[in-house]
Formats: sequence, C-alpha cells, structure tokens
Amino acid sequence: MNTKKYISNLAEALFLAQEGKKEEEKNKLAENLRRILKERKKEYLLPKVIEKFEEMISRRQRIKLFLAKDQKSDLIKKIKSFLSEKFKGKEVDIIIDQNLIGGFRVKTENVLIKASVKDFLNEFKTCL
Amino acid sequence: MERVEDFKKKLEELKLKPKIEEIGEILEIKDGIVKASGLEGVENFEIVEFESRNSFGLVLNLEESETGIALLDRGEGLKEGDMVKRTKKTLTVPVGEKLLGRVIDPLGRPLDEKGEIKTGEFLPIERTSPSVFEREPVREPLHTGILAIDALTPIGRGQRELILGDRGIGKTALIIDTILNQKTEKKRPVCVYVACGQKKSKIKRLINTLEKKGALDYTIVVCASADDPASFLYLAPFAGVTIGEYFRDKGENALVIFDDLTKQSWAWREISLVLRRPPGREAYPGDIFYLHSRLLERAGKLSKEKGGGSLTALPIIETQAGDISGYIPTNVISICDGQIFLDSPLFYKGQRPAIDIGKSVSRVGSQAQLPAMKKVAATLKLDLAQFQELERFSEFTEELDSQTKKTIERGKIMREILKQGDLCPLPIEKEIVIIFSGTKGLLDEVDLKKIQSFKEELIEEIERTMPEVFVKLKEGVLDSETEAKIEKAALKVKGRLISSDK
Repeated sequence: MNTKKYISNLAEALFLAQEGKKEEEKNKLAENLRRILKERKKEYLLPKVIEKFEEMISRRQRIKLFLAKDQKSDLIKKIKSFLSEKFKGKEVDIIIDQNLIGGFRVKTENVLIKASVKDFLNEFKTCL
Repeated sequence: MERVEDFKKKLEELKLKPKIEEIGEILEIKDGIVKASGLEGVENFEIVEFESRNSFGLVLNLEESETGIALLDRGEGLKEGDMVKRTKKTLTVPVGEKLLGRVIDPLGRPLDEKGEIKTGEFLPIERTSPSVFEREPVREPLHTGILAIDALTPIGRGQRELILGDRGIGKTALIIDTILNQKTEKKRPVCVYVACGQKKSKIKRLINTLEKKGALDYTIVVCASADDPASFLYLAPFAGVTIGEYFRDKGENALVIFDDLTKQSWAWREISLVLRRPPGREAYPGDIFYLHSRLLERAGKLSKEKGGGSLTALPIIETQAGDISGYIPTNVISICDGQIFLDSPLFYKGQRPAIDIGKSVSRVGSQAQLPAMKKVAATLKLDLAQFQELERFSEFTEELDSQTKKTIERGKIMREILKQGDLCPLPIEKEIVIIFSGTKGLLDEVDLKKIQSFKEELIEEIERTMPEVFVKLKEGVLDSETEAKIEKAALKVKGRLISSDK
C-alpha cells in the first residue's frame, strides 16, 4: 500500500473512531495512534495523518456558508444557529464571496444549496 | 421590441427558488477514474457532473465513504477538491432515423462535422433484454454476400454469430462485405458498426469505403478509438446495441457489429483494476462474462406481438496465435449462436476468406437459409470435410482409386469456388448459381486458375441470356426448370474456358 493511501486510511480510521466520543476519549485515541505509529517506526507520518484528519473534519463536520457581503452579527448568529439545527449540530464557517452578488450558498459534504443572485441569473440564462 | 417582450414573459414565468444539489468532492483522480467523497444518495450507473469543467462521469463503485466514477472524457483540468454533483439521470444515448449516415461517439455526440443531431428520443444504455416469451425462433436469413458463410454457416436475422481470428486476417473485411451486401437485400436491416478500440486511420478507411459504395446511408458508426478513455471503450458496444434496439422495437431489422469485444474486455479490466475490484483469471474482474452476456442477449428476433423486429449481432473477438480456448473467446463462444473462425495458416496459403469450416458453426443453421440455398449446399460441408481428410491422406500415398481422385479434384474446385475477393459481396441468387455449379460437378474439368473467371462469366451469361433465373432464385425457388437453365449456362461457359485453354 502506498504511503498516501496509508495516511488516508489512518486518518479515516481515526475519524470514524472519534465520532460521538467525548473530548477525553478523543485525546486517548490520538495518543493510541501516536503509540501505534511509534511501534511501527512510522512516527514521522503523524503530522500528515493529523492534517488529513483535520481536512476530513472540515469536509464532513463543518458547513460552509457563502455570503455576498458581510452581515450584521445578530443575523449571522441566527443563520448559524438555524443551520446547526438543520444539519445536526455541525459548525458553520462564514465565507464572503462577492462573486455571488447577493443571497447565499450553503455547502456541506453532501449538499449544496444555491440561493444567490448569481445562481438565479445563471438559471435565467439557461431558461433563455 | 418583440424580443424584449419575450424575455419579459420568460422572466415573469420563471419561478426562482433556492436549488438544492447533492454534491461531493474529488478526492483522487487516477487513470480515468475519480474517487469522490459525499454524493450520499447517488445510484449505480448514474451520471454525475463536474461543474468546473462541464464534463461528466459514470458512477461505477459505491463504497462506504467514497464513490468510484469513470470519467466520460479526458478529465483535463479536473483537480482534487473540485465539486461533483448528481444529475439523477442514468446514461442515455440518442436514437432515431436521424443517426443514419452519421459517425458518433458513445455519448451520441457527432464526430463527422455534419452538424448537430437532433433526434428528440433517448434510450438508456443499459436495458433489459427481451424475455423468452417475447422472442420467436430465427428463421429469416441475413445474407452476408460471402459464399462460404451463406452456404456453410448461414446467419439468421436475430442470431448472434461470433467472428474469431488473429489480427490482420480479414475479420473487418468480412464485416464490411456484410454491410455492403445489405444494400440490395429485402427489408434491409439498419447497420450499426461499433468501432471499439480501433485505430482512427482504420475507422476513416472504413467510413470512406462505406460512403463510396453507398452503404453509409443505412449505417451508423459508433466510434471509440484507441486513444479514447477506457470508459468510452466500455460503453461503445452498449451504445451501439441501444441504437439498434430502437429499430428492432419498431418492427424493423437491425444489424449491430462489435469490432471488437476484446478491446472492450481490456477496457473493463482496466477500469475494474483501478477501482480495486478483485481480479480473477487473467486479471479480468469476476463479472467479465456478465459484461458480454448482457450485451449480446439484447440481440434476438421478436415475436409478432412485439412487432416482429430483429437485432442481429456480429461480435468480433481477436484471438492470440489462433487460440480459441482463451478465456474471453470461450466465454463469448458459449454466449453466441455460433462462430466463424478465421484461420491464419489458411489466410497465408491464399484461402480468403480464411474460414476454417471445421471449427465454424451456425447453431441456427439451415433454418435461416433460403430453400434454394439449402438444397444446393445441403451436403457441401460434409463433402468438404471428406475432401480435407482425403487430401491429408493423399500426402502419404500416390496410389489412389479413381473415386478418391475425383473427390479430391471436386474438393479442390469447391475450395477455389469459396475464395472471394474483398469488397465483392455476392447477392444470394448469384451465390446459389455458383454453389450449384460446383456441387453438380459442372466445373470438373476446369483448370483451378480459371475458376474465378468461370464464376464471373457464368453470372454474366445468366444475366444476359436468362435473367428470370435470378428473379426466381431470389425468391428461394430452385425448380428443375431453373436447374436445367443454370446447367446449360454453366456448360456453355465451361466450354468457352476449356477451348480457350487449347
């Protein structure tokens, strides 16, 4: 098995193992991983595994909310709380993308909600 | 002003609301296969879109945390992290009369620069084959125009007849002759030629030949050339059979040629290995048989209740060093209703088409022959087999009785009669006349070198002096009066040839 695949598999295993666990248990898992890698003389891979793991967390456990421009903090709080509730407690990252012109987009691992002015204009263009 | 009003109307009618798309992200791209995360609800064989490059892929692997997607183009510009979204559609191909005369790729896009193809009708590439009760036995002949095939291993409309042989010994030439011969056939079948993994120069030559001979008008060419992605080589035969099924289901006849399925099996092996499916014998995946069986089962003759249409399949398999006991050849032989084996030693000895009569068979047989051809070719296979035995025997001894010598001479003449040039398919009535002359011994004193001239002159003679013979034979009728006329013409031509020798 090549190194990249090995790192990917370890990160995946760690991700699946830590799902639904408390902070203490997660720390224990990380320690176990470090010990296993040391036993196999592959401790040098640990930073890459962690990097891959964090990438997985970002992709699977966080929601990206794209806004055309910055909004009032109250409004953002409301949106974040609404999205967290809808998507089972996932955390929300706000990204400002002026190309959207107006409106918003919501992106999770499996779903993309398009509600920006840019998307509406594209739809109109297709319709014509 | 009108245009502005039109735009205004469309804008008012448009209901703009948030769109929810099911998406994923590219994790890895390797050898034409994309591994993507997400796409939770994606179905097997669904088409997904890579929005960043406006290209598409076909879902082939559904795993716990990732999806394996075969790219439907070269995948240039795609990178890790790009978004992929579901289209919720399975792969379809355009079908219809507008495809006739056109050259397309497995997705139905034109390759011949003759403009867009607007068929309006699409069929899914993967379809179930007709059930047992929707079929009827194959009885109508499909004439290839090749003497050896139409006489000895006749093909019927709705049959699957495999063509096997090494590279460069005339498999495609046989196919081209078959397509050309359909020009003058009754209830002419639509021909679909699937070029799977062929060189572009060869495909171009084939298209030029068909165009020159006026055969392109009733032919559709589906191209997946050697430099196309493996997914195209995998899909091309399915696209071809789907296009043929459109005509079959309308009650018409269709002929689909897969040239060749060996390349399709290599492509499927490549895709399966990259998808990390467990390799089996010769590294082929476990479902390699199913790949060809589900393709070829779609050919058949439909019952009258279902329209009475037919789809004939002529798959080609390339063997290595004449080995028909290989994995893929044996698989496809067991699926098909017969095979035509082209032998390299025969080819190099000058016997062309190099059909090995002993190893070739048609499981439909004389049920798919005109009564006239059945009559004249009834004992031909047995006679040729006997001749081959005796010829081998005669290599060891020179002391042969007169009957054996006569059988050997007659066999040599028949073998010479069965030789045929490229791009010279013969209509069935002319084939019957030639076979009749041979089997009746009307050529017994003719020099072997003059047999080809005899064939041409006999046809000319009958066309000139008694054309009604061909009319009757085309209907399948060979009565004693017609036999007498053919005999008379044959003896006249023979006399001319013998006297010209002197």
